Amino acid sequence: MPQIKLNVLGMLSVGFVNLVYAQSTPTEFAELSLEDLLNINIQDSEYGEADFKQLSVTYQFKVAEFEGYLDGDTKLSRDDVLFSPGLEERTNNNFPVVPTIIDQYVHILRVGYNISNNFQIAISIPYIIQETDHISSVEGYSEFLIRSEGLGDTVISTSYHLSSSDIYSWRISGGLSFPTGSIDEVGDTPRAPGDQQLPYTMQLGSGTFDIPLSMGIETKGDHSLSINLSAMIRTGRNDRNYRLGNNYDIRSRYNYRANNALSVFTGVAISYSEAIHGQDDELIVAGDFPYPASITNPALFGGKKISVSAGMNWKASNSLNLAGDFSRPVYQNLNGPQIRELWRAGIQLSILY
Amino acid sequence: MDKVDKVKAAYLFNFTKFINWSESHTHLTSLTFCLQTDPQFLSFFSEIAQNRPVGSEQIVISAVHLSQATKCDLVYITEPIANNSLDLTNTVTIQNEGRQYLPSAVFLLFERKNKLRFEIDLKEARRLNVNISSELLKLAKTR
Repeated sequence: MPQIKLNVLGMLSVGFVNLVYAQSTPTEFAELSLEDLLNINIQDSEYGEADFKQLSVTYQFKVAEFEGYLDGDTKLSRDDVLFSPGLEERTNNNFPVVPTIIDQYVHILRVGYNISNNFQIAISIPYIIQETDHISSVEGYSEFLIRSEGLGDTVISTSYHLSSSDIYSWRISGGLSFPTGSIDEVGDTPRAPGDQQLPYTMQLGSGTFDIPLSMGIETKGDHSLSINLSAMIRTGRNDRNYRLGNNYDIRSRYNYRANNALSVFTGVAISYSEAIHGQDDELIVAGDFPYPASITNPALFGGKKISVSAGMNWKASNSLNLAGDFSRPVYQNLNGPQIRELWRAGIQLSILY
Repeated sequence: MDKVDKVKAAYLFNFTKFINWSESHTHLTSLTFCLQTDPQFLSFFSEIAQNRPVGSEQIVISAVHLSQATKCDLVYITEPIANNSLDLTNTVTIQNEGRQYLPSAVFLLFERKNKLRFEIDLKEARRLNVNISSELLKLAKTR
């Protein structure tokens, strides 16, 4: 019996807190005394308990384009990378097939669920479309386009606010990426007649269970600064006996809140990617030079990159948020010859329930 | 509208309950509260203040945007002031920490540990001949 009484008191106490925090209309706010106002947590939802179960549905569309070649940070022309039989010797740095432009489009549906103000779980499902233009010195394939499309790797992640003060907040997140994206995409390449296994860049997933991790600190106020460290750790090897390289990056962003609805930001990111470990043997050909294109050589992936970005965030209402960003590398040092990134951009629409 | 702004609007209304203009406003029946805010905030504040008694007397509060004001008894400043013709030297001023566009203000709103707090500049209040209730002073940070 004493235990039941305690529980009832607990419920009453919770009910009181929600009454204080659950004001929403002008009339309700007018009823609050100064003591009530002093006790209101302004970070809490004005709708009280209901917001602890807040659901967010986000749609993101991202585009990235790659064109031109780098070996380290040295620019190479298409002629440098394309092997022309009879005019030059074949080496490890020229290839009979050269991708010229890679365009990647990703539609991402993300559903997040706030277990509390500090703890969120989310699932992200990408749908990827990739197109690569090629030139080649193989007869019948002087110019050709390869396309792949489908579901990418699905990520389940959790995010937790470690601590928060008036000046800053700390956040960590981690998750698991499931190999739902195909690594068996095929297409017609000059390697042989008919469809063959496509290179690593044209596959839709990693084929491995991967671990996305991040940690960030963000200051508060109209002029805020954030620093975020993140990594994608790959595990094991996939069914085609390779593992994509780990990615690491550090991002810093300055954000200016122009008013309650609109904020703009600019930032810089430094990233490092490893080369691919292992090899898909279906991508190689017999002879002294087994890689018909740079994108079939697992060593010619990864490198270092510094990018600058800018964007805006518009809070159209309490339940609708729009964001957009654009970034462009200012320095790339790639394990090359490797096609370099030109730019990437994204838009995001979030609806909160 | 953000919750913090709703709480700020409620604070502004509450301040009017605990202020007394000792001399110049002897027969006060109305107060003009100038707000330098977006229309949503202005409308929210107006609804809070509508037809509600202030102190022991029935004082009507008129909320107007600062850009359209000809006189202000109280003013809530959120941006640099563009309307240079308006004299605010005898006005009770309120501004936010980090966005202080006036050299001194009677009230300063600030955030601490996710709560909204306020500071009262007693020297500025005395200069304006404004009496602030001890009920309000005991809840405020003063200087």
